[in-house]
Amino acid sequence: MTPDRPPVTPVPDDAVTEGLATLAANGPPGLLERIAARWARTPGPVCDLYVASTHRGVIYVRTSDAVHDDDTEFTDQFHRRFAQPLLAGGPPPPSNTDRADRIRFDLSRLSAFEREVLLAVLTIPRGQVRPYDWLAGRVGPQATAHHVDVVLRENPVPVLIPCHRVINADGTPGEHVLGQAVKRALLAAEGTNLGKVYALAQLDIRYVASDATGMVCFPTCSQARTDRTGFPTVTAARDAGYRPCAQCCPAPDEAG
Amino acid sequence: MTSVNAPPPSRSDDQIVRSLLHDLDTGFVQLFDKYRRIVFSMALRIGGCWADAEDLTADAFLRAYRALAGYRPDQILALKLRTWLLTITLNACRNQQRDAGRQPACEPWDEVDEQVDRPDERVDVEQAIADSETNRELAGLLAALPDHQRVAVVLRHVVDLPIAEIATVVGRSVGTVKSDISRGLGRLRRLYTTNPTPRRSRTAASPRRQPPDPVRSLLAPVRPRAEGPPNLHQLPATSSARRPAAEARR
Repeated sequence: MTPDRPPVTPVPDDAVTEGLATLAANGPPGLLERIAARWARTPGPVCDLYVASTHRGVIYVRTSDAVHDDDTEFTDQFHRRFAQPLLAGGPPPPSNTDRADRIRFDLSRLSAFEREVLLAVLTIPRGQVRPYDWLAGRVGPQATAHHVDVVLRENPVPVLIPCHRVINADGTPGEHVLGQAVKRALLAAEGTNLGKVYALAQLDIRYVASDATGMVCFPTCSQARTDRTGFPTVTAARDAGYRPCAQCCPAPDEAG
Repeated sequence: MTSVNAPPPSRSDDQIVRSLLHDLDTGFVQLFDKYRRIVFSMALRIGGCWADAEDLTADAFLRAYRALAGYRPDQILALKLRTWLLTITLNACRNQQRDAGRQPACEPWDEVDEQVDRPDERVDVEQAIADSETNRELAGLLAALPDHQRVAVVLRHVVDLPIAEIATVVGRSVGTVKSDISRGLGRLRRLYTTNPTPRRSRTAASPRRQPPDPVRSLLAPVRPRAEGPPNLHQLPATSSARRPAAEARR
């Protein structure tokens, strides 16, 4: 029954109207969760994270620095972007970036292309980096480094979907949705040696190959060995008799 | 989390409006708690099956939230919350019916089967009541009413709205709404009282029994729901196609 029931005109008290009155229902529990997102603050790799989740999964992430440690700044940003209620509480959100592939995300507000780009980013392991054009190659032949850069600058769930692991081909970090300083800090926190990648790039070395494994890898790949030879392109390495590493897939468009 | 079986907090609309003006999200939760039942009931009995009603209810409240976010304080103060919310819900139902041709439809009597198919979901006690055989039959008959009559009957007798408010929600005159209700009820009574296996006593105010009429006999084959052919789900749910018997025969 509705709480403030209006004065009603009498109706015939018969089985049909009695039956109709019993057809009202509250709906299932958890109906509110289908409408409103929940947010919580949780420890993150560099500083705390503000994480908003819907019933589908994580939908929005900001570092506490990015919102100046201000809860209202976070909720305001969320409202501007999603126009959806955001309530405090709910289950503790994920923050362990090692397990990013196990986190459920709500990417339903994004385009299919944006989703593909972000899901491809999830495959880059912690401690490693990939250039933008590699990511474009993973997504499809029509995508360019510029296209994926545009998507990553609007990544709604940075840190957890590690767009900071996508860098310029010359070894410089490139842009990040939360700023370059955050990108550098996140990479440093993961033990990524960005200086090494940059130094190699200065020598026009983008890939390294090992005689021990017979494979050519990205310099940050866990399979990369110390007894290595540098190459500017995968093709050059292939011509020299090395095959692309199956883990870091330095030639995504060929790996098929 | 709020228990659905607990009575909703009896906040006045004035209190809810004050909350909305102070903090939209807090006010919205109060609005939801107070009106979820009538919005869901309306969506369930006008829109179709339980799963559709969940989507419709979420859609309606989200539309309401977005509208509130864009309103000036004086606009929020001027709102008649219930009338406004049910108008939004009716629009959501109409949009869904308009789009229904493109989607597989579900039917009002799907509710029980659906829950059996998904045992992991928590079954609402209330839903079990709503799905009793008598109610399923009545819900099925409701679905067979012409659109305007169904909406009017649902708002009057399921949602328990005064007639003047119904007229505002559906954008028709009070006289038209009264006539829709009375024709809709009349039709339900004729069909309902010819039910061969009544589950509840209706001796008190039962209208005269009628010989089995052709419409009733058309409806009868739908009752053994379990053996319904799977392609029932693919039929459009437009108001004109909501005649269960016709669908069951295809």
